[in-house]
Amino acid sequence: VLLILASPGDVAAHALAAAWSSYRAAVVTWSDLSCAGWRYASSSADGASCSVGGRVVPAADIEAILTRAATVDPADLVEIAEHDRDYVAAEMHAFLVAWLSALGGRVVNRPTPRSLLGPLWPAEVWVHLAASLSIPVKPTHRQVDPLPAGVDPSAGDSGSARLVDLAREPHVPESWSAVTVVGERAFGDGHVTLKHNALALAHAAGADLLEVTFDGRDAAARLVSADPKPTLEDEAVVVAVRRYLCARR
Amino acid sequence: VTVLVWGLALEPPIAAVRAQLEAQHTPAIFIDQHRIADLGLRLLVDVDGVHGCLNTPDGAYDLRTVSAMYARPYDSRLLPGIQMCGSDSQAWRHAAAFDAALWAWTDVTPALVVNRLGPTSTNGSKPYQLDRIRGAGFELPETLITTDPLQAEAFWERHRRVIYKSVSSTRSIVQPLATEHRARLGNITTCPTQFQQHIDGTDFRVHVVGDEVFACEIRSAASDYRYAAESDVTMCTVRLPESVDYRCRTAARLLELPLAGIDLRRTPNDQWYCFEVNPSPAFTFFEEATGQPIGAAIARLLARPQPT
Repeated sequence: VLLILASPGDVAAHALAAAWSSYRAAVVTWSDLSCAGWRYASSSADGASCSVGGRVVPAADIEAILTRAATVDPADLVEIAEHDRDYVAAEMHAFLVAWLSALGGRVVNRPTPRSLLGPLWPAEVWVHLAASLSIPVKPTHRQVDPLPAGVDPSAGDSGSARLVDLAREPHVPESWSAVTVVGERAFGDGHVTLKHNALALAHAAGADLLEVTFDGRDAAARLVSADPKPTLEDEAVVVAVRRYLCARR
Repeated sequence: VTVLVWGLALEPPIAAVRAQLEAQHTPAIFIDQHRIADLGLRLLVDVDGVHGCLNTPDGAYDLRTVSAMYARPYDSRLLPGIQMCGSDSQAWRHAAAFDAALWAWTDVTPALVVNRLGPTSTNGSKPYQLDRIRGAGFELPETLITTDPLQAEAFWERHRRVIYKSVSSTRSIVQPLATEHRARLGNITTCPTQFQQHIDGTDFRVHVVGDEVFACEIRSAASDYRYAAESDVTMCTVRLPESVDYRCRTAARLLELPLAGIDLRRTPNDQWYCFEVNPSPAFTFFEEATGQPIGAAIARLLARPQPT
């Protein structure tokens, strides 16, 4: 089976599972972690298992897992008593880090303790890594000012505290472009140089799947940031991801 | 050499490191979380490297002059004064933004950081962390994490004596599985639960500080000495066998932790088991009990000139 690990509200994950139904794809959510059938024993994939829709699936039957969530959000655990949700979310996340790691290269991307998605880094880290690879970069600026004296700290957004994070501009300018890396392939409408740069960055970060943003489409465009959770709307990318997953065994 | 210290002034490890830096005449800047509202940070990363300016009530500092940092902060959003303002407040947003910015700086600065967030977070999944140090050469306790009561029963049957504890870094008391728990095993279907074979023996806490190793033997009848009555715990400084000393250094190196608190147990037949590596150890607890100069060693490590 192909598994897609996602939060319960991830509509795109369910759409992928439907599109890949002939490949026995299924979505695994946190609700499945509250069912008998999960097993991890001292880092070995031997004997590991999971529970998907009430059915126990041995690790040996799993072709690959696509991860679509960075962590377990306590707010998603509606079946758990409210006062236990933070603890249970932390335990589920910790379990998944170990369980997914034990499955090795079958998991896209391989998790880190900080993120089930793999390298979910701030823009500063991506820019720093890219610069070390001689990839042109757009400088990141981040500024957090002290709260002004006399301002009520419990006040909402109407106050004057300035929190600027230019690396995470909410509106991506039209002139920017994105390259999606899937294994050794790169997709996007930018210059081929950007694809080479995106592949080099993904390789250095140990990411199989990565969306890399540049501030233009030409060869000189600078790297802005990267995200291990691509949007997966382009049909060619979706097909490439499915093929990549099927080739994991 | 300028050292940043980030945390709460009254927290014993922070106080100890600051006192030792002062005693060693090492210039230090304290980022006091109690003054979170007065803290600011500008951070720029470009092709020339990492630039930043830290604002504290004591002044503004160019982060390029910082050679090392001791980081032992709490989540600033959870400080009482911030939490009571609520998650929609300016204070909360400012605290979250400051923490994120400073952690981002630790990710990219060439300065020595004791310890960086990535290596620290390996402790967020104990089984993952044990797998990472497999190459260090320690014995590792057999572990089962499951949502299946039958699997847990079988593991218990096989090992006879079993403990259970949290999988994450959420602090939990290590408890032996006892007959009265049998009826509650059905509850584990709700959340994966970690079971581990019980290992008989004597506990050791080893602190690795750069090149220095401090070992402490702990005698207690409790399954988790951290929660035993003070009178039931005795500690003394010991010298580790060379091979075990080497394994401790290797474990710290594998986890990329310049400072590590390693929990070991030696069995009666001289096998050395590793249970956990604490990336932010409360070393003062052991320092006070044994007189080991751990804080001074941390200060020396921080004051060491760093390669640029």
